Amino acid sequence: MLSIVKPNGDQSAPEVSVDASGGDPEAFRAIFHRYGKPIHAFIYHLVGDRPRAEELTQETFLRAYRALDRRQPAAKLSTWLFGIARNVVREAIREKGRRLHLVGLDDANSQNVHDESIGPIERILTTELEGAIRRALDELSVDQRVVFVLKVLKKMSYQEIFSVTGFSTGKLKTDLHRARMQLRYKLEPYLAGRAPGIGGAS
Amino acid sequence: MNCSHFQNIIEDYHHGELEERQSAEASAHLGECAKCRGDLALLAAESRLYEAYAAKVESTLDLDPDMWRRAAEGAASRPVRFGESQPAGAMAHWLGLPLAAFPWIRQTVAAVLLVAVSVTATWYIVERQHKANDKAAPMQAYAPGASSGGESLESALQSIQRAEKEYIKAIQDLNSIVVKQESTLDPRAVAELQANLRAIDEHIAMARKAYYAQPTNAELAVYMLAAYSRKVEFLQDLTS
Repeated sequence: MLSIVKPNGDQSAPEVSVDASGGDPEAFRAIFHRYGKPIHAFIYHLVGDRPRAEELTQETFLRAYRALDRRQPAAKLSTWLFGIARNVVREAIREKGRRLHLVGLDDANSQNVHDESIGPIERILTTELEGAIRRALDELSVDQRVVFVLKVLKKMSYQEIFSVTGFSTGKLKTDLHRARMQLRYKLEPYLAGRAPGIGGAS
Repeated sequence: MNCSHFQNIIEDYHHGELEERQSAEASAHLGECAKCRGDLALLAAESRLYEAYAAKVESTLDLDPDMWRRAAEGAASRPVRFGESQPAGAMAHWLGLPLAAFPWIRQTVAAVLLVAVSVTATWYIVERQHKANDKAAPMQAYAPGASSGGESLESALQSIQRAEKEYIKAIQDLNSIVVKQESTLDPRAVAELQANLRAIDEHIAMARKAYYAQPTNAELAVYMLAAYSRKVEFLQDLTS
């Protein structure tokens, strides 16, 4: 049985609730349509490689389909899926035996934006800076990257991130702080003097 | 609130994760501290940059709308792989049998580990006591029931045997879960699993033989219980 509910704090993106959907293709299709893009984006931010991200997204949903009927009823579907995605990425990185390397952002994805209606932050997002952010993310530990992406890019609460990772709040905060400091250090040369409030920090 | 305290909670304040009272204290501090206001502004500006980056990148990501169909077909045709894991917080696991359905196993394992720790600690104390007694009355030291020291030794021996039985029971329980799921696993994973279990069993047999040849030797008792413990941990890892 499939139903749609409004999640706390997110009126624009209703949470899909599955009561008993093991083996139900329609329920699974609805779940994919609701969560496919966020999960794909999450995986891409972790691996920085488009074909690999697509492959791991499919693997995530394959595992989700197989495990749907064993899901804890109290677990939120979105955090449950992010948790599977995180495990899939960790396993993929472990199997490779090395960090997944950044592949350059292609031109179609990184054209500069010259629209005058956008703000100063968006305007400084040049190809060079996007590449620098991607590389800085790639240099974080996997745990730090996961926490940073979920907290800063996906705006999850600590409680939700705990549900995804199983990390204690102390570890979450430590990983987040270290990730932020490392990114600040790596990006400082690209940002100093280019945007109000960013760069040149001590 | 001082600057040091604010720096510890600046990220939480920025994300609105503080309780009302603490958030009010942080706001009050910001009202009077230009440096912390600057640090918060930097954090906020960086966050906006990262959000803009994410939005721009995500707008260019394409996802095949029919991927769900391939995933469902793949799920039906591929066996569960060894170590295929589920979210940590969800309690689901790759064996397909959530431990929530077997709360007694976790309790048993925890209880066994506690017994092992307390038994071995007691054992060392008893053995030390007996060594001291040996000097005074060597023939009496290891005679169960012959003295208060002998009673302690007898009690420690019984505790070791109880701990061993508890371990064996926990291993049987965990084993039954693993065996039920073997047919759904990749045959190579099953072979690897069985090879590991054989090695652990050989280790247990060796440790057990050594201990029962010298049942008053504390080190051998610890060695034997550690061998059992290793198997419990191995099986527990497989089922969690």
